[in-house]
Amino acid sequence: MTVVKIFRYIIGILLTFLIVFPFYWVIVSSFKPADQILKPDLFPKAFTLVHYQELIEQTSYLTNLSNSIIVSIGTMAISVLIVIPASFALYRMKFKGRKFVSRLILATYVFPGILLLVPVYQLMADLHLVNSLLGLMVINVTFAAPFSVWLMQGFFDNVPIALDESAAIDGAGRMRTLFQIILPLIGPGIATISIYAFIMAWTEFAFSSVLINSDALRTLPIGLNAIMGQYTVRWGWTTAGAVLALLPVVIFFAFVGKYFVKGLTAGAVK
Amino acid sequence: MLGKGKKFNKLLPYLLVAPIVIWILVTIFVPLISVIKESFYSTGFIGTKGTFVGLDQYKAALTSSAYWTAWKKSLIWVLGNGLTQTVLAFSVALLLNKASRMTNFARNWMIIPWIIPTIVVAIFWQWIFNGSYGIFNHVLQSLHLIDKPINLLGDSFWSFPIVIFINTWHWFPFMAVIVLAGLSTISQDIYEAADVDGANKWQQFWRITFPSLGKITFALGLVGTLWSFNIFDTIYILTGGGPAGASTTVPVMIYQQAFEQFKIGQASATSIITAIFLSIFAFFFLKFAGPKEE
Repeated sequence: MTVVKIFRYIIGILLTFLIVFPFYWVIVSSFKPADQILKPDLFPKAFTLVHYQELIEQTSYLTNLSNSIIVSIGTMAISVLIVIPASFALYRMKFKGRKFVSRLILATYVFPGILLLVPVYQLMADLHLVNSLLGLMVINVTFAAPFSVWLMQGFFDNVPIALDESAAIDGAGRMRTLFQIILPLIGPGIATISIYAFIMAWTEFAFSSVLINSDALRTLPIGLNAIMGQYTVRWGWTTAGAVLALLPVVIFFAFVGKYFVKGLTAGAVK
Repeated sequence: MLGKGKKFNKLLPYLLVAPIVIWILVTIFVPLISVIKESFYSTGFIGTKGTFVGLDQYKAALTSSAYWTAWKKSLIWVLGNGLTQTVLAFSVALLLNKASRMTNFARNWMIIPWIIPTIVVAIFWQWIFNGSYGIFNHVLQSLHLIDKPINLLGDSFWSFPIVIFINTWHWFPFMAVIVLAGLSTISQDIYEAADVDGANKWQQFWRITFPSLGKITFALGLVGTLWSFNIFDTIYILTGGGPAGASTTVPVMIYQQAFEQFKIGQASATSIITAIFLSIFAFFFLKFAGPKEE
């Protein structure tokens, strides 16, 4: 029994180290002065904010940041607005073609996104959505929504169908049932799919790199990639940039993370 | 009045699913049709017009050794990622599958590698594995395992396994959350009964835990395989497919054909063939590995 316990501790410590060390190392490096950053000191001997200051003053980090926030919030809002009604119909109503719709959605999330890079570019060009943040939102929703619909099933199933029935007997229409009875009960599900959409948009790389070609409209990952490409040797900027790119999403996650993990858990087991 | 309401109720589900259906049709199926069309034309640059070449580009893809090498890389990629992620995800999930203050905290925060952008993941590990000043090289040198630093990501043998490792680091926490979700549905009583019967932990894992996770492992097997097959950004950012094609998987190859060699037509044909292979895989997976419905 104790052998099992010791073994568990060792594995636990190794896994924690594996997850935490890269964060620690990049954060620590970003605060080291330029003449020390290349030295492998685990604990910094001096502390500076100069990389951050230069990054903010001399690169388009702040513009990239605001673009990323706009795209992520937009993706989140649109995806909730189309996923909730669709899930309500799919998991609560009987209608002809229901199977077809759920197959169509399933087909999407098994479909290789990269294969669509070229034609999506052409589509966006036709719609005048190349070099536009709206274009990025459109494609992010495409890849966030199907998994979200799948996740919502667990949440809808947890609301007893008897509630819908008694609402109907009381004379409430279907839409009123959705807004007044179901929505308040699937709050955690809505939170989960919102966070999922936000993270998908925040981290998206392939489409953003193809669909955006002006500096002013780059999102963070693309901006950071450009900074890296131009200044490979400037590890001060690169590490500081990495910290600034992960900070907003980590802060966001600090507030909503527990709902997300719980929601993913609840949604996935159905 | 009543008649009108009935009609509305009949139409309602269609109105509700319409936005997502239209969205998917416009952003996936319309582009899909244009890929099919382009695959028969020798289009070069995006936006230019090519001439009709029939099945030539299909033939070119199927007979090119580069395409099959890319498939080989993709298979190694999918298997390598699948194996390492499964082992890590199960280890984490089994460790955290009991309630305590510490496990609750760890459950919420262990997913953190998954929420950060791939570019940040790439910076993390490029910095650690850096060929001149990386801390990893430093550790190996102080342990006298190597005499001089090696640039692992630029090495024709090591780069691909290292990229697989980095991608695993990025994704296994997400898998762990899903596995944990599955574990939480298994009743504790079964384990207690097994304890009474004298089954050890190892036997309990293989006889109880693993089979109970059938549905979850199935979903992860299918979706996870396709997701990981399609990963492009991690490889492209870290190695650009190199060195000398060492990490050129099928998606990387398609990207290069389209956006570096400017052969949109050829990239489209390659895409279609790849999509067909993936659908065949999904079909057989659903047919033979799907959970049996009673």
